[in-house]
Amino acid sequence: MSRFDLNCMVGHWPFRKLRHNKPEDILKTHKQNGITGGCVSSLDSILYNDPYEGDEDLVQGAKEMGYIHIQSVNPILSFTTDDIKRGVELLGTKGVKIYPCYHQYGFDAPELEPVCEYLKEQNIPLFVQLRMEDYRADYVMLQKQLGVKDLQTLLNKYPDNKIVLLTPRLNEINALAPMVKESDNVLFDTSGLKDGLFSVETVVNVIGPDKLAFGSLYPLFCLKSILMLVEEAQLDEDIKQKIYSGNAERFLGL
Amino acid sequence: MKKYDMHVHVWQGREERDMEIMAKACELYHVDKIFISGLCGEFPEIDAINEINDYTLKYMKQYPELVEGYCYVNPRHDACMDTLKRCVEDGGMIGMKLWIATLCDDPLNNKYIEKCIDYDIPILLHAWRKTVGQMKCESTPEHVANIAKRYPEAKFIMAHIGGNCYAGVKPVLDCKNVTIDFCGSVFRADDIEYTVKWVGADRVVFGTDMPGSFLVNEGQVLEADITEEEKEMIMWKNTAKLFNMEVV
Repeated sequence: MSRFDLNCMVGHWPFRKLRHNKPEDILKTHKQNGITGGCVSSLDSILYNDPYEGDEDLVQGAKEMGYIHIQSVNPILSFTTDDIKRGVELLGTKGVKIYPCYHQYGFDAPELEPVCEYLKEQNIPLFVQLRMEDYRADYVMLQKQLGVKDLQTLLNKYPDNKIVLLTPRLNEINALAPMVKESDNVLFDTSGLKDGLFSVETVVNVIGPDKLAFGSLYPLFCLKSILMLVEEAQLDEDIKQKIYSGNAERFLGL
Repeated sequence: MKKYDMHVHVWQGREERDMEIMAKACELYHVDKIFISGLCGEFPEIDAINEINDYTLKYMKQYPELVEGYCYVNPRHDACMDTLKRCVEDGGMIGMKLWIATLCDDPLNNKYIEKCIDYDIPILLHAWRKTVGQMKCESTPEHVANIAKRYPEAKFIMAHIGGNCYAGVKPVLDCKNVTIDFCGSVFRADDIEYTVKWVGADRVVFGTDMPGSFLVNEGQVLEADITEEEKEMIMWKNTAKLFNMEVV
């Protein structure tokens, strides 16, 4: 059964030491857990003044890993769309990731519009990292807290974009279920399903088996913790296969 | 490897549902023991405290091989001493739980801690240093250090690694009578390694905060870059020793 990590990262995290943050570390952990592919993005890019420099550093690592390069951007910067075009041409960008939690904007920000317009034209998925740490453990810099209303704004404003919501909480998926049930444009990852027993089973029950994909937020989060939520889930094997890799591969057109 | 989950709850108003789902999880995930404390609000009254402890006693009887119990007390009520005596002496509970009704170093707690020393039972202390949302009487690791130094003969467990290992471990570094659990929903990749590095594996115990997730905390142990022997200590042996159980 193939396994694909929709949400792993390489680089340094300024708030604490990461012990497994290099491409070879990620690959090793993935291999130990039967994961053979994934989408990788740069931790460095998040807080660099020029995010593109972090993604330039990631290129070689992503190639060595054989993983899909997801470019990190801050849409508030006026040159973001140009950077994405550069990334597509020069870096091999296959997806674009945003961090409103750290870049401190809402989904109604006008600066997001040209970015989403370009992504829609090019059929490039938008990865939205909803949070990076538990808010209660933030250090020095507080994340902007996003809630269900913010996510509703995003999905209402950009219904034709392909959107991957990363690290959503169970209550958020529950609340968005009526909006996403009929849509082929929204995918959730598993990395936020830390609350409560049988959370993966609950999500499948609420939104069906086709909109959830394994993503770990490793090496920030413990990969095994998230993987076990799927491994131990009381679900049919064909549904698990969709979560492990099938849904992500379909969504990304792999 | 055995699994002793030393930090789970039943919550007022949903006790039966909590116990039912935990029993199911224990069966599926092969959990050998769970240590329940009943919780019933920030500053609960004595009737609610007795009622929630009665639920814990009920589940200890219903699942005698699986369930151990902590007596939850709110030291703002003197009558809680009778509750503690009833739950430990008559009911067979093997620990006491302090939550967020008092800071854990509040002098109101002293007589309860002294009673636990007499009983030779551990005291589970909720502790969380929060960047946002700190509650009025929510203890931090510094409060844990204060009470641990006041009563060096008492056996304390600091829950949740104090909420954040980077804020939680060093304040209790020299308090050898403080064991640390890492239960709850902060499951960062390096928490176990960091904690073991500073206090050693013999001061770390496995808990989950069920009916919150079980697997996220188990995954942390399995993934941690520590020895198999250390994992076994964390998963059950340290807990067994702390609660004077057999380690076989």
